[in-house]
Amino acid sequence: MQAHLDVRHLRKSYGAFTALDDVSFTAAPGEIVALLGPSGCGKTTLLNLIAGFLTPDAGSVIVGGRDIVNMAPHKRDMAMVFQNYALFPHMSVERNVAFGLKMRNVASDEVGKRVQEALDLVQLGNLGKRYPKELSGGQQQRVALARALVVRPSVLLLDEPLSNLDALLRKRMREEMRQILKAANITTVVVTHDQEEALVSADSIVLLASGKVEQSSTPNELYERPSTIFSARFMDVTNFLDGVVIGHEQGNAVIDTAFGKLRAEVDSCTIGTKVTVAVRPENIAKGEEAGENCVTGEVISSSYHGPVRRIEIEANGARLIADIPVKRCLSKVGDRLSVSWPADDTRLLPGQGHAPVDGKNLEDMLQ
Amino acid sequence: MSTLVEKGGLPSATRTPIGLHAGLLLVPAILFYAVLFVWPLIISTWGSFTPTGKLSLQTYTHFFSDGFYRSVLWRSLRISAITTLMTLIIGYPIAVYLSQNWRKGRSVVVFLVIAPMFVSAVVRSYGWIIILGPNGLLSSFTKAIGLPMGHLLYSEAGVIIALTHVFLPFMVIALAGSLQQIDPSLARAAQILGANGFSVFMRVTLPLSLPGISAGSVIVFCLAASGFVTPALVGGAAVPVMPYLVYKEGLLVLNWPFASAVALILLVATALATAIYTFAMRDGASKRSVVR
Amino acid sequence: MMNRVLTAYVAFISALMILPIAIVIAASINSAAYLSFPPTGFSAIWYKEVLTDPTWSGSLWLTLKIGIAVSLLSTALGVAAALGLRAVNNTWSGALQTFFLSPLMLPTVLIGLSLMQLYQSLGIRASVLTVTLGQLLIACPYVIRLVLASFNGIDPRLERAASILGANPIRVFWHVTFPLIRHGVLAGLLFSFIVSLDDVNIALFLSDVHTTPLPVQLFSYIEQNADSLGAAAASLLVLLACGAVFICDRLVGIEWLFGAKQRST
Repeated sequence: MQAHLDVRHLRKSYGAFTALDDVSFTAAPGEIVALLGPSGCGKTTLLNLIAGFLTPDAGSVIVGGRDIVNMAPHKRDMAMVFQNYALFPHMSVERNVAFGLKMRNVASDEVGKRVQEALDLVQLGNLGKRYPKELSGGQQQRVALARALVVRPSVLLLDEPLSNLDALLRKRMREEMRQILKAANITTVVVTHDQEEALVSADSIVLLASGKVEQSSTPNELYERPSTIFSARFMDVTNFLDGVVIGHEQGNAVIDTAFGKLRAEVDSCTIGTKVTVAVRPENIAKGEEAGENCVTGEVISSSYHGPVRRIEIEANGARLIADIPVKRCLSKVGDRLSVSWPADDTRLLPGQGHAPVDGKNLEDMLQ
Repeated sequence: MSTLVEKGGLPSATRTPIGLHAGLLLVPAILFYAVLFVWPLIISTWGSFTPTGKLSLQTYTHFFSDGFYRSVLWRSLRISAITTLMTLIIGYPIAVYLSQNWRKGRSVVVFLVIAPMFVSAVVRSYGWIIILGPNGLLSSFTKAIGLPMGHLLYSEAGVIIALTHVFLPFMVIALAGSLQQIDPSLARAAQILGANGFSVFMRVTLPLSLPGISAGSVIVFCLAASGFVTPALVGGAAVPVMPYLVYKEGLLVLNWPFASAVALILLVATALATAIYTFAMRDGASKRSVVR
Repeated sequence: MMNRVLTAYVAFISALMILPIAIVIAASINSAAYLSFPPTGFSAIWYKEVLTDPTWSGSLWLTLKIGIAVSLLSTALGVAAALGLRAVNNTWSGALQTFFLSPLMLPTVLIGLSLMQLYQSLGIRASVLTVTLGQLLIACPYVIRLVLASFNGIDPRLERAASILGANPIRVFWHVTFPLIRHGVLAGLLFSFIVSLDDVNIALFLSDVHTTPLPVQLFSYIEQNADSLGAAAASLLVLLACGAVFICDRLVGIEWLFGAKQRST
């Protein structure tokens, strides 16, 4: 039965290298939480700690009210889908899926029934007698999912479940997987490095960087309102302008930047703080009527991206990238161009300069 | 189980620009094999069927009609089978140890267990003579703890012990090779699904190591059956095996047709045993419902 | 806990594995002629005896000569055969490879016996050559297998690159292929030396009173006597084998030798 997962203050180091530093998050019963981050951020270590394959230096893993941090993996009533699926090559699909049920001493007629149900759920109902090596990558992935779902674990763990599939299949499986998981109503933790995958599959996202939680919120929140430069960068925000807060009027902060005075929607701010103004290229429109923020600069590059032209304008040493619909864009390099966007599409982020992205692979090697 | 040549020959990517001329490099080896390997075998085989110049099965009937010779064949097969089983049981935990990369003593163990393979069987058998003999290590030990047994020299048990020692490295290598190829995430997958250590071993590790068990068993069985030095020294005339018979008939009695027959019977017997075993294993692979 | 048990077991078996060889070496430095435990004293006189006695030293010298001959010849034949197999890459090469490896699948006494019959029927007397030729049959397969294994590490495009840059086949081999299979060849050289050194089954049938390699000499001696002199001769064999293994480890790494002993079934 699905349970409440509560991860508290987990810490894990390997010698001088800290893989996880005081990481906490919760998952409500039936909720799908994505652990998102670049490689080396600690997300897989975190998953392995929850599963019990690693023991933390400090912290607890509480499932349904009980701290199981010292419990062996096979007693935790969890299930896991591995990145390479880890299907038992010497067992048929049916026997693979039945494995967890056998370990739980479920009666054999019950086993047969539930195995068939699980296979039907992932649409592999008639492939029960086949062996893993006879299946395609996508089919193997579904068998791995069925094997995990059939035992009705209290917590389901998925380690980059789609990353071994080709791009097209991955897109299709994302939504299908979410539907299956929601129908099964199991507390789920998914590890992924693909932000689009997290946005589509999860109810809430925990963004990790260098072993720490950078931001923990709903997909919408994370996408629209990243709270740090790292989060914004990870979610593909590409415009960052250094600025200083000089005022607050009508629910917007006024920031002085190289492009002039810009307005960003915030509840409150302190005058004089050094900040970063962030805005997505797709929110910037040609012309001066699209919002409170209006800037003019010289076009320094212009490239074709299918539905839009990506225009880069410069003024006073700062640059701004705007994605303008092709039909509306006639600018060439050297032209002067005015663009504008609304204050509520503008984010204010603490600090200035580039957020470092640690991409250590040591963490991956140590698992 | 060849790891070098995929079925159908060398991987096609190795077709080199050297071209067919390099095929000529095969000629010396083929000639050599033909003259010094195939031709003598033909002579021997023919000789076994023509003991008195005329074609007959005399040598073979002589062998099979005599209880003594039949017992020698049976003894060879029996000793080989027991040796194979012993190397499997003793060697499996060692192979498991060696396949665990995090073990610190690995290279030492590799050296101690595998290196004896490169020392001549004469030397190793001599060591066993010293250990198993009447005044040997083992006897001194059992006398010291007040358990007087006879000595194991010139006994079948002694031969089996010595053969197990000689062929253990072969089994360990075959087993370790198979164990190392098992995907490590499979053990974790089983664990998280509820399997404790014992279940993981019985349901995942052991079944997946069967190719290694098979390969090792075939190797050890065939080598043990063909081994001459160890049974000759440790068992002597008291434990006659087929190769010993070949030696006696071929070099001492100089009855070559009979010696050839004995050697060929040995070859056929081991080939047959191997074939039966391989057939049984292949059949079992598809029916293998080890998890019940 | 299971880990401790396993470690203890492995330690125990490892000690047992080395025991017989250690015992022989221990016996060889015993000052008493007969085997005694505990040893009565330590001395190296048996080694001196072995090295000065013409029968034993003659054997030792012969063994070395044969070993080197087998090593060189089997490597030459084996490397050529492996290269040939690689170049002729069709359905025949699989069968041919099995053929080349087949001597290892037969009882060695059969090989020894049949060769002896051939030599006798042709009136050829035992000599360094006859024994060498016999041992070649069990050495070549190992060389072929080792060289084939080292082929697996070569990217075929390297040879094509050399070729398109103007190298003729011989130069491609010398500058590109050979350096890459060097390790397999070296391992083959050393391995075939060890195979020759250890062989009794074949040499037994192909030797006579004047041509007796050390292992055969030792075998006959031990059949009758068990004493320190035999132990010293045996220890010399161990020393030679260790030397070869050591050289192999220094030059190419010891893993190569392990790969050789697997049989292709």
